[in-house]
Amino acid sequence: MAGVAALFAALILASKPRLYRLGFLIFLGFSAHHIFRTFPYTINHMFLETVFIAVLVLFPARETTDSGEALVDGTATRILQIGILAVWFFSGVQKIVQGYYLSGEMFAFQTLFQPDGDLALALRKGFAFLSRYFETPFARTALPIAVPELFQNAHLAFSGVEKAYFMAPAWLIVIAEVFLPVAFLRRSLRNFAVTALVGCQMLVGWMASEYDFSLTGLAILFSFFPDRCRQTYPALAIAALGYFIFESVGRG
Amino acid sequence: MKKTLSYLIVAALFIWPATHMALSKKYGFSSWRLGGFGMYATPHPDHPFTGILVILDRTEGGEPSWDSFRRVPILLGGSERSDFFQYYSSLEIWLSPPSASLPEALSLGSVEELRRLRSLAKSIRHIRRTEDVRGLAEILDRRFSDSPNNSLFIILWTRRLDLKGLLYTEGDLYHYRNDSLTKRGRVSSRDQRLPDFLRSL
Repeated sequence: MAGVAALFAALILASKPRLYRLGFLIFLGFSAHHIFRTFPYTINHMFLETVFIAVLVLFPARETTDSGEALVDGTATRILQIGILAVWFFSGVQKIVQGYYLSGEMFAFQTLFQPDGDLALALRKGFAFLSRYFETPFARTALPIAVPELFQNAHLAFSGVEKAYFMAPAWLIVIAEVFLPVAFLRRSLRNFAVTALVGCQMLVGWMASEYDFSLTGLAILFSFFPDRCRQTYPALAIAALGYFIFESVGRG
Repeated sequence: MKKTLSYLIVAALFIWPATHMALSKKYGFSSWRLGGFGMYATPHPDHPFTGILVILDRTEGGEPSWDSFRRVPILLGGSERSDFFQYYSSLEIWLSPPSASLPEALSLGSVEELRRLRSLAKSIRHIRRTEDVRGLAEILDRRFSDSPNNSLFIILWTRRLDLKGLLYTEGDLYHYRNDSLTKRGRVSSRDQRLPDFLRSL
């Protein structure tokens, strides 16, 4: 409870022009503590968010000159923008390198074995329809399959349409992850790339139930639209708060 | 200074993910860990199809006799979510010969050892794989310290789905004997001997 109170205090501080670095410093302390507590089993996201918050602390949004004139510095925003494009790009490349996702295995696992979750339930509905329509052996198999029953189901094999059902979304997502950040480099495709990434961020966030990072990702992606640099900071503060509450309270 | 620092951070945002990807691929640690960008590129670390299969061979040395093992479902308890493992871990123990009393022996294990087993099960696909196997072998070896000629064969399983045949498992086979852990190669459900063995269970 004290942790949540500190996070809310950090949020309030982060919304104050003169104190927002202190707010982000508190967020940074939380994330550093979490990494220390869970290392080496820290999930990648915590490292990523820590780097993002550190950038916000290191590069203040506003600086006041000797004459009292306030300047807006977009350094942090630019770094975060490059960072989110790198996240998307390498996320796609690593999926290609490892093969697990690209082969449709991730979607197959969610469909057949994941007991709950939005994605699993949605995938199972479509899979059940396909299995019944094409009368595959899975039409008579109760899903999800429990682990102890795996060996009894070793005879089951996917039909072509079932393979396509798992592989098509995987390929589409990987292509988007690799292509959109590259497309951003071309000025004429920039708006399209950012808009598509916003859509992908929401879609992938739902699929993976990663609502916390989606907030951060969306906050950064929205900063690509003109004259939004200053708004990025409070948006990121809200995103960071959401992230830590999900991470600390929601996941125990 | 500020400019240099910003360039360094941007460079790190490109160099580390690429390095992490290569290291993760080469050394087999989870792409979910250590600050890479490759979430979902490999199964989640708590993936239920990642587990340990322990084969205990109490005969005099040699290779495991695949026909004589039987399953001892004390840790699974008929479910992928056991009382001890409050998450999906699939730690299973198999025993040979059937007359051995592994369930009784392990049920007498201390809370600390059960906690350690839990940690071991969770740490599969994380880093420090060999050390985890050694830790598990040491625990089981202590349990059977009164039985001479113990020889533990441990298979670190990765159960996977295969779009060609649904179920596909592969794993590293370790042999623990006389405080020494040796990796004996990889085994797979595509091995000639293993499908028959699994079907006989």
